[in-house]
Amino acid sequence: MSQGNDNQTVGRFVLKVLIWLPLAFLVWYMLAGPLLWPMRPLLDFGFGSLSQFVDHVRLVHGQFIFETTLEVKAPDGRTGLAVVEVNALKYTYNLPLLVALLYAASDKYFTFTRLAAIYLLLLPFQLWGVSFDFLSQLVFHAGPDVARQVGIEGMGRELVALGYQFGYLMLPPISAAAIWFLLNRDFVLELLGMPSDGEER
Amino acid sequence: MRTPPSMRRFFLWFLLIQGVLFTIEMQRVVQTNVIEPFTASLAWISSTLMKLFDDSVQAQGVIIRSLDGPFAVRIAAGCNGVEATIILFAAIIAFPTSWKHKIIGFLLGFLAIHIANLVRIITLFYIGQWNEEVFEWAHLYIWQALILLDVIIVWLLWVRKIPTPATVTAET
Repeated sequence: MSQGNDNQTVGRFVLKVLIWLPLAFLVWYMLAGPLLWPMRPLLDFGFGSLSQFVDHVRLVHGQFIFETTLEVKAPDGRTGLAVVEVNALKYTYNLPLLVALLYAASDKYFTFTRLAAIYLLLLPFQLWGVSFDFLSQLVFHAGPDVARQVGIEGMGRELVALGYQFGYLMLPPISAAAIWFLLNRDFVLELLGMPSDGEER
Repeated sequence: MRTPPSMRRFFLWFLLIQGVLFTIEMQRVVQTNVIEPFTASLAWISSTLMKLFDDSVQAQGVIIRSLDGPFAVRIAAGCNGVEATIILFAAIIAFPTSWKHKIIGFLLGFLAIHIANLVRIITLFYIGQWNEEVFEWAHLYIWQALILLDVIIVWLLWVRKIPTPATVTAET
């Protein structure tokens, strides 16, 4: 392949991503409710099984509302139960990003089955982000009384901070790029001007 | 056509290196001595560029404010381009080629990411004064995606310009 054709291949790919990206974002935002819905029972079950302090998880307009059994005291002395909101879209924008990258690479992803598989592949990374956002709010922003009731101290606090930062700053782009790379090894090699290594599935 | 290196090996190295670099970045001593001064310098460069056409802009540490109104933006983690730089550096380090080519990739990649990031900061500053909802969208989703795309493009172009491992072996 000549250098000129190679450059055209990369240029065409970038152009296709830029065309698909706004469309993918629009569809993702409009379908946010149904797309986020499967995460709710998973979060409910996960935190319900692993912790004593999550009573219920609700999904309202792209936000997960964690209703806890943790007591909080207001400055005027009244007490209540802590409720934490997490903006799930912050952790799920990797879906439209990945879809745009995949559609720009190949039209074989234009099937419902493959889209469902892509969605499932991203789900663990998205759950990581939402879970650590919830935990970090409890441990670092809800006050010392709530943090004490949660029982995460010392090194545990450091791990929650690292898990939150990793889930927010790194996992969404890394997961999209990594899955795109793994699903399109032949195409990536073509973009790199190299022959297929025969590893693509 | 060139001979591909083992992509599986590259990929595993990439995951490991970006994890290590990110953990180092998150250390308090690195944040205080490297990331925060670097972020403040980004705010200063952005405001200096904006002052070329808008004299109502002022930078104070990591905050850029408008003197015409109450609007201000704080450049936080995720907006300083450091994580994108880590992803690119990890992809460059993990790819088998000479250190000379890796260093050239670091320098050019760093420039490409941070030029795009300055555009991000400047556009977000004006979008925020225009419409808060659009600002949230551009800030949290659109620019994040575009910066990753920038990383992918830079890495693809870098790999295409460097000799492959077979060529490197032949040169040495």
